[in-house]
Amino acid sequence: MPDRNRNRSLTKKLVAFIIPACLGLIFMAWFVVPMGMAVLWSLVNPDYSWSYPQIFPSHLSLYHWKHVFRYTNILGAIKNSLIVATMTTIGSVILAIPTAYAIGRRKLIGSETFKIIILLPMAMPGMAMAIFLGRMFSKWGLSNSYLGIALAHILCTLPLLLRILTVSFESMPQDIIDAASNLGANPWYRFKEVYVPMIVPGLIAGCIFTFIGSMEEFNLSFIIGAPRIQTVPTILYSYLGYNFLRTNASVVTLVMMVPNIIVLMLTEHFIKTEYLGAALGKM
Amino acid sequence: MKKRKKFDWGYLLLIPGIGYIGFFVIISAYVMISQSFGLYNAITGEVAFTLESWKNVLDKSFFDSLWFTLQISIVVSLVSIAITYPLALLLQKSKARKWLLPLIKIPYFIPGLVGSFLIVNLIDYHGLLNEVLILLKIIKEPMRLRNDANGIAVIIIHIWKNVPFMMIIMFSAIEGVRQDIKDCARNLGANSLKVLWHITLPLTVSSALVSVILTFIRTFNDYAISSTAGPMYPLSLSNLMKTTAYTYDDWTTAGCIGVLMTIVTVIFMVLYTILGKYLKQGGSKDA
Repeated sequence: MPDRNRNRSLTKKLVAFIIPACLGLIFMAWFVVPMGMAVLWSLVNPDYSWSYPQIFPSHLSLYHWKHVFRYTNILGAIKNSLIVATMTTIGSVILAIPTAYAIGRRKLIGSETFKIIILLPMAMPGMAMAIFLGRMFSKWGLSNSYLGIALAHILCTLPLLLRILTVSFESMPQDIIDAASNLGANPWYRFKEVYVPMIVPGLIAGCIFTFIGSMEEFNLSFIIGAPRIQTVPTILYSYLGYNFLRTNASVVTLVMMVPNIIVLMLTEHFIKTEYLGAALGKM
Repeated sequence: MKKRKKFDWGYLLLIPGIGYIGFFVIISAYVMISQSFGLYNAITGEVAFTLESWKNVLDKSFFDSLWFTLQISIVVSLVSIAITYPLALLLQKSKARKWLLPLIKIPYFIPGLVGSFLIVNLIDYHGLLNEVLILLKIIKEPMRLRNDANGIAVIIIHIWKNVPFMMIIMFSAIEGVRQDIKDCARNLGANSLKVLWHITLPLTVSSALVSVILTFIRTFNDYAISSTAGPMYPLSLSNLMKTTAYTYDDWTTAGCIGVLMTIVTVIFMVLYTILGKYLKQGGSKDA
């Protein structure tokens, strides 16, 4: 009997070790292999080709890195993306907080309808919105400007941010707010000491999703920003489209991931992807 | 209680968010619909009502694109949930989830176009996948996966991008199944398979459906991935619309395609909201 028990616990331990190990390997393949390929391609020496029988390129050089940074507008594109993403995040937060508060805390008649209206931008195909909103924007003189792109991005990022903030406001326990007012806290004090601390985690997560959403948004930047304002996704698209240059695209790809990875690392402690699940997974 | 007497100024707080969304959505819908009837012209301002484009839009290339896009979206959403659900269950049980979960979420934070390029590198004619398969003598000739007529590359890229997205939703749904309910079933003599079948599955199935619908919408409306890795014919619907508008300068037909695409998406959004309601009820019943 004790022998069998020991055996069982041994198999259990083995299983507990093997499953995560296998999953880890799959995830590495999931992510590291494609990344490694991109790194290798960006380092290929233009004088020696890298083709079929070779597993690794025979000669490495930094030629393509120098080339991309010297002759293309990639630094400008990164700057544009960061400016637009910052504008979008600030704008979305300013617009979202009052509305999320009203839907989440006030018992307004028709709040279910408002929750559905929030989803409308998601119900419109991105390209359709880009093309037809772009028509109006060019009439208003908003195309080819940071403001135009940011206004359009806000439209795309607002639904998710509103949902995340609404869920945060809804999940605040009413008794704490009541306790604060019973103890004589005025509205400003209640806001400062009760609402703010409880809303901050959701707000930070929402800001990160907004920022990343704006950084990677392609359709609207492509239609409204072209040709004057290039963002990082549009510049990468130009390398993937008609003139497919694998080596240059590799460099742009790696550069393009830097801001996202920095954001991811900086905010790893704050970011709770659970907010996304909570915001999208239910009504 | 005193709120009821006077006008509730809470409605004013709705203006920034709801007003902004309503304003711009109505504008783009207005331009799209009026353009499809020839009633909007951004350049000359001359308008004339016409049904010509509505008669012509339903041609072979449109139906090919529609069928192609639908096929890809359905395959992507079904395969993604088939990968995600068991993985989420495994991860939730596993002790190593602290470091495994962030790993699998990484592609969510990688822009779609970057993902497209990364995967294209792998599955290209002389990509790693083909060469490994040839080395292992599984295939003789490299397979043509990129820009092929079935859109295999597009499907693979979408799955790569959408599994983490689904994982985020599904994992929090499976985490949300309360332990005491499971313990209760265990005490009543259910084995873990029964717990999975009678408790975890019914409580998470609507989350799974929601994530399938969201993935479907994202894939159905995609432009960038299918235009870089997809076939030249048939184009995805977004791509067909953009090409019609910008390359052929046929804005009325593009308007028609836009309206039809929006109708399909709206149907699925309605499903999403209905499911969301159902989910909420299901949750409160158990709470």
